[in-house]
Amino acid sequence: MQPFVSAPTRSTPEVHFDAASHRHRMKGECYPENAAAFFGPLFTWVKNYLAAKPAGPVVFDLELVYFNSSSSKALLDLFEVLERAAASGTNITVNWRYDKDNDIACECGEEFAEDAKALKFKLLAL
Amino acid sequence: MTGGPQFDKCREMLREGGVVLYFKGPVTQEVVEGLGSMIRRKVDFEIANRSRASQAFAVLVEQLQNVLHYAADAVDMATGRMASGELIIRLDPAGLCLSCGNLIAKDLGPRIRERIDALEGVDKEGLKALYKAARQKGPDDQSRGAGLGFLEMARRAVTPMRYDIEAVSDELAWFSLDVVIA
Repeated sequence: MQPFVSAPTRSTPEVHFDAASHRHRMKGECYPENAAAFFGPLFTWVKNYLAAKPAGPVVFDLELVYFNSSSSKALLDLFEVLERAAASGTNITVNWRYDKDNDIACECGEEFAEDAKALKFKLLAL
Repeated sequence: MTGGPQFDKCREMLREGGVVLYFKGPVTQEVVEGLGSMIRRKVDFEIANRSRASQAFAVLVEQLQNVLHYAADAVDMATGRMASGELIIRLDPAGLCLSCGNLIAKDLGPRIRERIDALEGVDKEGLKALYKAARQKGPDDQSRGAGLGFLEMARRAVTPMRYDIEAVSDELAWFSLDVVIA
């Protein structure tokens, strides 16, 4: 499976999802004009990846400076996909990395963490 | 002065009103990015408050992306969407006020009123619960985004959000929204 790679722009993060290492990274700003268009291909990739039941521990490293409300919904949808895969046995960890001075990023991470059950959701202040 | 004497009075009013930024014109995603980055740097630099800088940035993006999504004159071009809007950022006794305005189709008015009025008097915990519930439920078919913009801004606001909807013709109204952050 080819990695999913998206170069960063001023309003979209760098994305590097890698099926070989099971380490997936998303870093930067996230407030595209059209969140559905940005997240669509990413979701397709993640769903195909998880459908193959990855054996190794799967890690998502997310470090988002800011994301708009449309992206917040898309992230929730992503975590729900991960939650379902985790509930059916895949070992998945989300590392939510945030700047310790960024109250919004911290608060948003906590809110996502509240709903995680089988999914391991870790908050990491930088 | 710049632009000729007819603008001197306008400038005087902006100065007296504590205006940090006045923008009126076409809004595109590039404008959102540029003005967003500008306010983040300015607040961070002058007020040395990174938390306020991120709050201001967050509200500015939601405000201007609402213009892009819902303004009556928005057009889709090959290079992205464009719509006319107005943004005023000014000092307020309670903090920093970000006001944004744009034309809307008049029949959008009741929906906007209903959405903003529903948030009045709701405390922080209540807003968080509403936000999480709305995010879980997903947008209705009239939303172009996640339908969370007003809730997101209400959570950042330190005083109740103020809005105005004023008819300008049979079909159009001017919608403006003030959001004050700490």
